[in-house]
Amino acid sequence: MAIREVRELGDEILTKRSKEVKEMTPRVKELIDDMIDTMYEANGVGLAAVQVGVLKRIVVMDVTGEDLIVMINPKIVETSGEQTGQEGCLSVPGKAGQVTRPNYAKVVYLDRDMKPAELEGTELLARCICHECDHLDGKMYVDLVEGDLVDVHYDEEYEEEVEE
Amino acid sequence: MTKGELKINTRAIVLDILLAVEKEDRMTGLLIHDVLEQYAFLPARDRAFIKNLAEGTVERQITLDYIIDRYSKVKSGKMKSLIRCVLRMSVYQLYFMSQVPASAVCNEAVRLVRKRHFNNLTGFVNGVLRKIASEKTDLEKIDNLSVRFSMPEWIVKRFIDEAGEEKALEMLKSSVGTRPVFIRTNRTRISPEELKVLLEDEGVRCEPVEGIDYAFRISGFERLYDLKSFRDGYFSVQDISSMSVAELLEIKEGMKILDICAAPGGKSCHAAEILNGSGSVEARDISERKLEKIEENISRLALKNVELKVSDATCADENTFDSFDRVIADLPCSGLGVIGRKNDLKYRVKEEDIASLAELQRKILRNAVKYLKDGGIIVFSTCTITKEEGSEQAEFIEKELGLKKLEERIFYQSQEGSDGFYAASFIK
Repeated sequence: MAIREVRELGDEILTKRSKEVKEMTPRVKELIDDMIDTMYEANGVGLAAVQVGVLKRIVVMDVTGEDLIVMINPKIVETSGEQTGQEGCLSVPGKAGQVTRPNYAKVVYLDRDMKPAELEGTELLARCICHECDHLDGKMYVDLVEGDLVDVHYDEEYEEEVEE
Repeated sequence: MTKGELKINTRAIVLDILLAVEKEDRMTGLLIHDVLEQYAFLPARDRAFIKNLAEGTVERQITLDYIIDRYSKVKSGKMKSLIRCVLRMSVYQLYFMSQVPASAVCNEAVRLVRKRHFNNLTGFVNGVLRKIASEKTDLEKIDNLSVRFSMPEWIVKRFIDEAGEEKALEMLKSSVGTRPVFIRTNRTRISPEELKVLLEDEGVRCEPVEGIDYAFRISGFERLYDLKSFRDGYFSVQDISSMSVAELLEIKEGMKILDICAAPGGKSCHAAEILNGSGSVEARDISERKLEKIEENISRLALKNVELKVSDATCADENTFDSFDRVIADLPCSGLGVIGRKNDLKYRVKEEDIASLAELQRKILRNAVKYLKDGGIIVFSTCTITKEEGSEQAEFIEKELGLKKLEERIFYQSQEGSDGFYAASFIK
């Protein structure tokens, strides 16, 4: 359990292609756990391994706060429709921009036990699937933004745990 | 990825509303309305949360204070305003917003208190809330009706005195939670059947109302103004009890009608719709500002036979004596029949106001009957349930003013039905 440093826009690594995960190892397990902690801590809804500096095709997502999804070697096999809306990225803190994405996406991947799985998402989940899979190919949402990036103000304090 | 949304703490907004209610003595409904205008850019879900939490906390104040006082050594009345408001809104979430997890309620409360620089009280707030969250009281089992329904004692007593225990309980139940919304078809523009189709196309649930073929009960919409059928003037929102005023008037085409205290104009517009372009309605009220509200309704409904006039109903206007076929006297009152729609009214109205309101009504009624031609009909109405502002005034109109009563309708508010209302018609 650890919070890792999130790489920010300008860091060369974010433009690189991540490599397939061939087998589950204790190190990969630890990486996934750390990615989950890092994503939640930063109030994100999705995070790719490259954002914590590891070029492996791993994505963690949770768009509702209750549905954690871990995807290894994800591959989008189908998309349809269109949605335009604000999105942001943990690697571009304090900013957001308008991006058009498919409104539906179907993705196949390996789960934490390296078993094949598939997932269909619409709206925010579809947006997140596309956004994270782009990261694995070295693409950032800022190149897709229509208009300007805007500032968003996050709560200055993060949640402080209250003693039970 | 992040959601890329502007992050706004909805609970902090609610807290500011509650603090303003305590300090400024402004009507809660207006205050919430103004705040929501400011935050029009927020998603509908956040806006609904703000509205429900702020309104609910005010509405259930007596109940919430009772719960807080059971678990806190410092009684709610003695607390700092900020702490009291945070506790009230948090207990409201614990009891009445089941979708919010208890841990979130406690954590958010502590954050709010810390942010407002009451660091030394975070432990207290946390302790009280966690105790309250862990031992919920069954509110249904509270015998004291004032506490259970968050209603001042004197109003509970009034309800029982006026309507008996069984009806009073129903009236109390209808005073908390959401009220049904009734609408009146603007029959000068559309038939009720066509309106129903339009509304259903807009995703609105539309149920018929027994006894009034042009009225519907609607639900399943967020804001009235989002409905094109409303903006286009095909209907007005009006309680079924209040529709009885124009019904009792026995209006015939071509008549001259006077509404002496007209704002916001619901009854004037209803009368004008029945006239269907013929005759005229003169809608009077005390100030330009009050008339603006009527003006809005007239133009939305596209009514051409309504004239507006600033006039103080307590002063006699001799020029218009004996000149109207019908007079509407819907007069200022204690409003005990519409408590369920105005969540802080119950704390504002005082028992001693009733006598002076009744006196004011008599003063206006003395003038009102003079505007009526011989053989004309006047309807007196109030949105309350007290005898002094209802049947006793009817007696006054008969005995002192010499008119003959035709019909009387008394409504007691109920959960699925109308508001509390009194209306009676008299012939000169």
